[in-house]
Amino acid sequence: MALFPSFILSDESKENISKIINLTHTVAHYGWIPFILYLGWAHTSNRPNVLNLLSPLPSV
Amino acid sequence: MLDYMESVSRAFEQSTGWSRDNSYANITATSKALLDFKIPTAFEFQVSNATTPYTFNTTRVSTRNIFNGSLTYLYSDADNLKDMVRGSGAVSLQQVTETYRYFQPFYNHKSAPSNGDRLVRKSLYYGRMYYPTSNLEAMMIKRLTPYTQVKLKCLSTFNEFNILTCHWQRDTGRNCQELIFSTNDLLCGYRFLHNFLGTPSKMKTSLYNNSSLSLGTELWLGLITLSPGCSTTLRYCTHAPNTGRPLTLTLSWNPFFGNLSSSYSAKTSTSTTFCAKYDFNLYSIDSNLSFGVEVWRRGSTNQQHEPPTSQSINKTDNLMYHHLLPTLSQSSSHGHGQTKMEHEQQLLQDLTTAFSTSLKRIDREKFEIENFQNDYSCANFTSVWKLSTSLRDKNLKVLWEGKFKGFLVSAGGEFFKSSPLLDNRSRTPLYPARFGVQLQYST
Repeated sequence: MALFPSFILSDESKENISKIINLTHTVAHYGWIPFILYLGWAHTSNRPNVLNLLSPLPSV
Repeated sequence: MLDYMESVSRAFEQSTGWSRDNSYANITATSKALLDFKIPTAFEFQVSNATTPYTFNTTRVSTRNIFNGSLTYLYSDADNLKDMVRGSGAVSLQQVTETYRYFQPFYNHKSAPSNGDRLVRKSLYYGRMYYPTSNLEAMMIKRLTPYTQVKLKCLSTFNEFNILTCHWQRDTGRNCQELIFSTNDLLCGYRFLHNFLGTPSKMKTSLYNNSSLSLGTELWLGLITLSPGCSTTLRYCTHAPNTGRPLTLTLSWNPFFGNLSSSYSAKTSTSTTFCAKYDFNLYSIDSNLSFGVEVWRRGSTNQQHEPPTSQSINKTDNLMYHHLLPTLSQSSSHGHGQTKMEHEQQLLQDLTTAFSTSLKRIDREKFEIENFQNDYSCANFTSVWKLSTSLRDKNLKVLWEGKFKGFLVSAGGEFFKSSPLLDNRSRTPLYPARFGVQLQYST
């Protein structure tokens, strides 16, 4: 937000936008892998158990 | 050794008909694989499996100074991906090892899928979370049309270091174009690769010419620092006509830094590969000569490939071209023109024999090339030694990759002639700079 001078965006607006961007970044950061797992779960016909999808170890 | 996820992404490219080698980024992939191969730097263990036909995951733990690792998940809706990705016990070693790249960019054989765009619009989503740092690597590949795809890569951290890179690629077989934009320094790039030969063609010196010639270039510009960059590379791939063994020559030129690099890579047999590279800088008059060699070891094989004998080839050729040979029994019964007819018959016989010999030669060269490739791809290799050295750096890189009880093992190290920290008068001939072991298991 430092790119915009103060007469375009007030300091409060800059702070709010910065908070929104940080929150979006955090959600995207931690939500990306659950999103990948959801795609695999939704695309599989027998809808496997979530624990099976999360488990990194080979199923016996 | 290729990671499991790298194998999956290559299987995705194979499933969607995307040519990995027809790109400027991989134009020197053969010399890189033989000289600048990656050596593990820690003890690393990876376990991978496919939980569903569309989801793959990998857990990696590594111990160097601290205990760290990563969790990787991948989703793709490409067809038959699970069948194409094999476990570590069943996969052949030459598929998971970076080695000589067979490449034949004959774009006239590239055909668009006839089932429409629905089958082409496949996608791949990849995420890798590192711990204990919680950094995230994300990637998405989307095929748009039979000739284009978009690739997004992202590195996300919480210490103000986030990079997003976008690639737009268009590959028509004859030309491959790539537009790149990265948020790091607002870097913009353009890559272009052109293939000159569309089909195996006839040349003056050889009737069957299986060689290919590619020319590529790349341009870069950082918009913040306004720092430009460019390079151009010529690649020539061909086969030895008598033995069918492939060889690749590349010539790279970077005009800004004055760096000229030429490489020669050849598969001297199905079990050995050799590469030599010479670098020269026009501005600093600095040069470097590098050598790399690969030695593959075969295990017991069930499929015995019998070497072709000249008798069998001649027999096949005679069967194929018997109709071209003149039938001497059909001679003319007219007595007065017998001398003239015999002369014409002799001329016709000479022409037919010459034509038949050329056809035989084409067939033999083609047979040798295909036989060599089949012999290599069907071979049951159990391990490979990779060695690389550079005269200027005075180093030796050693890497052993192989299969051991269902595991894929990669172990190696890099040695220098003398340590920069120790006294040069040290009697140690080779100083180990780094070494590591990597174990992979996948089902």
